[in-house]
Parts: sequence; structure tokens; C-alpha cells
Amino acid sequence: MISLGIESTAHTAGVGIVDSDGRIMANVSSAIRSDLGGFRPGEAAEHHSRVIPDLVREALREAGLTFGEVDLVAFSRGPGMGQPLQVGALAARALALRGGKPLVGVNHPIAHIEIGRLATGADDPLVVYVAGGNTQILVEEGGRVRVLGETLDIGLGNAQEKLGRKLGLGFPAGPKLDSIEGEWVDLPYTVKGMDMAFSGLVTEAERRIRQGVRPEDVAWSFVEVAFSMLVEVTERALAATGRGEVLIVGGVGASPRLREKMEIMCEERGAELRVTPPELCRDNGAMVAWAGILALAQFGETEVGESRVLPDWRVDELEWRFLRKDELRALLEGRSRRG
Amino acid sequence: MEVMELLARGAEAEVYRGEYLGKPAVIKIRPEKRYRHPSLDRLLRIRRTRIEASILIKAKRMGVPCPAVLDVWGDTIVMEEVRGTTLASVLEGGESPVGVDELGRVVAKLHAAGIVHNDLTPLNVIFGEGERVCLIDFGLARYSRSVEDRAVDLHVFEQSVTGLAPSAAPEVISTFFSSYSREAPDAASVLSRVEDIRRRGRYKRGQAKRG
Repeated sequence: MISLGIESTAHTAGVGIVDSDGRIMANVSSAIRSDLGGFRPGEAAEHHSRVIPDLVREALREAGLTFGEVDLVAFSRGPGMGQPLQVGALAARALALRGGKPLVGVNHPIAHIEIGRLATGADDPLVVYVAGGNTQILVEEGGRVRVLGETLDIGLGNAQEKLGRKLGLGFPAGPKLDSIEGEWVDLPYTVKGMDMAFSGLVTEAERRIRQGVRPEDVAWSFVEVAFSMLVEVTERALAATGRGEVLIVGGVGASPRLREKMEIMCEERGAELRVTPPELCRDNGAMVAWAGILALAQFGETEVGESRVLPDWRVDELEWRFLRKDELRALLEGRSRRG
Repeated sequence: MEVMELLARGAEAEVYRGEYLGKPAVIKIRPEKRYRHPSLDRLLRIRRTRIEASILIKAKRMGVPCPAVLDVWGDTIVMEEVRGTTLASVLEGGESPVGVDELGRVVAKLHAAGIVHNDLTPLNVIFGEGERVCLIDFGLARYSRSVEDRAVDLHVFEQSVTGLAPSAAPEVISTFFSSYSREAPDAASVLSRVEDIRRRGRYKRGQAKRG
């Protein structure tokens, strides 16, 4: 079975093609960029509607396939920004209807997690999902992905972008912030149980810069504090659940500094660390295509008439199981027998 | 002080059995975290140790049964050793616990003192002789009088008891809730907030064990 997935929850439009053995046959994308930092949802939607048709053609060419050979069309249904989401959904519906193929709407965080499991071979990990809008510690239990801890205000990625904008680093600022070297400056560290908060950290960092503290020192310490908070709640969740495996997914997951800190913690706790490769960490179409196959196997297709986007769709609102490869195969065979 | 035996290693702290001035004692140490910058790490460990000790002392003064603090320095708290059985092992042994009524009163008293525990699981409740109940592990405790924070305490208790002993849970929880609501300040709003939290579906099973 071959799946074509469309991603459009935020700044990135992506199209990927994956088969049911988990082979990534194509993964192409285009992200809106801005030198001033930040973007408006409307601009992203406009960008995505311009590039998606070409991305679909490019992905098919890269995979060496015609659209007729694709078996299902998957799209990111949410959570995300309404306007960009609608562009991806519209494109997916049009493709599915034109080709008479099943349409499958997938949850964006689930897609991040599942591509991470596929790429790293993680089986039943504690998941650290760290991106622009989302920062959550997750486990699958009892047929649902549960939130053990999360940000109480903004996502870690968005916190980085806010400070980056102040420093004139352009968008995306995260990777640039990551590589700035500086000296330690005391900044607020907010962990409550297994939850974190980042917005006070941004405010205080901005205040320090206004006060004349060297911006590179503030930037370095900001990253230090934000990642330390995330590592601390991860360690707590490990202790509470007794899991032996940590899987990092999501756009900020590509950060070498985060990886280094997580590695130290996991080593001390005797846990295995698995990090999703950078090209699959950021928003992409392949993760949507793969999650589409898993969703179709478990729950069947999404009727076009019921495929509206869900901008506030939390990861713990849907049923979901981490399937093993043999379970997936059995489910897909069952479906094809039923016809 | 003499350190003898590791009792528990949580995410943040290590708890040892030992001796202090010739008497049995429990020693809680927050060890260094190498993933954090040394200045940040030191600041956090010392600040949290002080808060935990200060909350234990306040709780004790307000009549909440909890370990007496014998000494505090840097990242270390020395406490009195509490003897007894945890609620967790009573539940796991399939017995029906007798001190739950008293536990409800104790948590009500804690909340009335302006403190929330934040990790109210059966592992952190000890039954001594008779119906004596003692709360331990104040590592996540905070000064708070908010209805939400109090409701989280009750919710964490409910969830963790249910997870540990599904069949005994309904009775334990209803006994606990009714004795809590007889004595706690704003009990009605706290209980209705617990309802809200359940509806939110937010998964908050027993928080991390910190020793």
C-alpha cells in the first residue's frame, strides 16, 4: 500500500510518499521564510496553496510513481492554524476525489511520533514532543496517547522565535539561537510537577537585553534554561512511568544542544535515547503519509463530508495504539480481505 | 551524620537511611544534575531544599503529621524516620485500609494550612500503629490556597489509587472524599473542581517519585 501525505499545519507545506513497509519514497517541502521573523496564518495559507500542486508532482517524480499507483491520500487535520490547515485539507480532498482513493485525516503530533518510531525503531517509548506550538511529554497507554506533562503557556519553539525576533535573527530563529555562545545569566526556571512554562522566561530575557546585558549571554542562558526544564520533566516522567526509552520528536528535536543534555540525563538513568533524524523532525509530508497508513489500518478512512480540519485537536482526544509491524500487516490484510 | 542504606532514588533526590546524632534518621539529598549549567543547578537544588524543609516545618507546626526536620544544609535535609506501612503496600496486599478516614482529615488540615502536596499517591502515605497516618515526600509541595491546586491533590490521589487497586478504589476514594469534605476549607468548590479536572481528561497519574 502506498500513501501520499500532505502537511500544512503551520509554516511548512510538505508532501511525502511512504509505503506500508515504512519505506520513505519521497519527502519534499517548502517553508515560508521571513527575514523579520514571524508570519501571519494568511500568508502561510497563500504560500501553501501556491506550492502544494508542484510539491505533489515533485514527490511523485521522486518516488517514480504516477498518481494512479497511490492507494490513499492523508492530510494533517490538526492541531494547527486554521487557514494553512484548510489549504492542505482542500488539496487532499481534491486528490482523493479525483483518484477515487480513500482520504485519511491524521493528528499532527501522532504523525511526528509515528515517524520517529519508524525512523529510530523505538517500541514503546516515553515521547518528548517539542515543536513550535507544542511541548509535551507523552506515553501510549490503554489505547490512547496520554499527556504526562506539557507547557502551561507557549511551546518551546515559539518561545525561541519570540526571543529570536527581538534579537533580529529572522525566522526560524531556533537553530541560530542554539549555536550562540555566551556566559551564564540568571533567568527564571519554571517547572511545576511535570509541567513547564516558557512565557515568563521570554519576558525576563527581553528585559535583560533592554537592561544592557550582552544579548549573546542572554540567548545562551535562555536556551540553557529552556532545555534544562524540558530534560528535568522528562526525567521525572521516566521515574514515574518506569519506561526505559526516550524518543525525541518535533521541530526543536533537531537541536544538538537538546540532544546533548538529554543524552547526559538518559545515561545517568540508564535509559535509551532515540532522536528522530532532522529531516523527519521538522514538519514534513512523509510523517503524515505514514500516520495515514496506520490510521487507515486501525480506524478506516475519513469521509470527505466529515473531513473538516480540527485546529484544536489535542493528541489525547483520539484513540491511538502504537502498532508493531506484524500487527499493522495483519490489520491491513484484514481490511483488503473485507474489500 | 552517618549514611547507611539507599531507600529510594527518584528523578530529583536520593533518600537514605542513616543516623543523626546517634538516632535513626532519613537523609534526603538532591544530587548534582550534569545536564544543567552548574550555577543554575546549584541555585535550584538549594532553593528547592529550603522550600521543602520550610514546608515540612510549617505543616508540622499546623498539626499535619509528617516527618520532623532535624537539620538542613545545602542540598540535604535530615528528617526523623517514620515507621509503618505505605498505603500502596496495604492496597497491593489486598487489605482494606483502616486509616483512610484519618487521611482525609490530615489532607484537609494540610490544605487549611495553605499547603498543597502535589504528589499525593499511596506511596507517600504511611500508616503507623493504630490509625496513625503520616504524609511523606514534600518534594513537590507548594504554598498555595488555590482551589485548582487543592483539587489536583485529590485528583492525583484518586487516579493513583485507582491505578494501583481498581477494585478497592471506589470505597477508599469515597471514604477519603467524605472525611476530607467534612473538614476542609472550601470543600464544595474543591470537589466540584475535581469533577472539572476529570472532565478535562487531562492525564495526571501519580507524579514523579522524588524520594
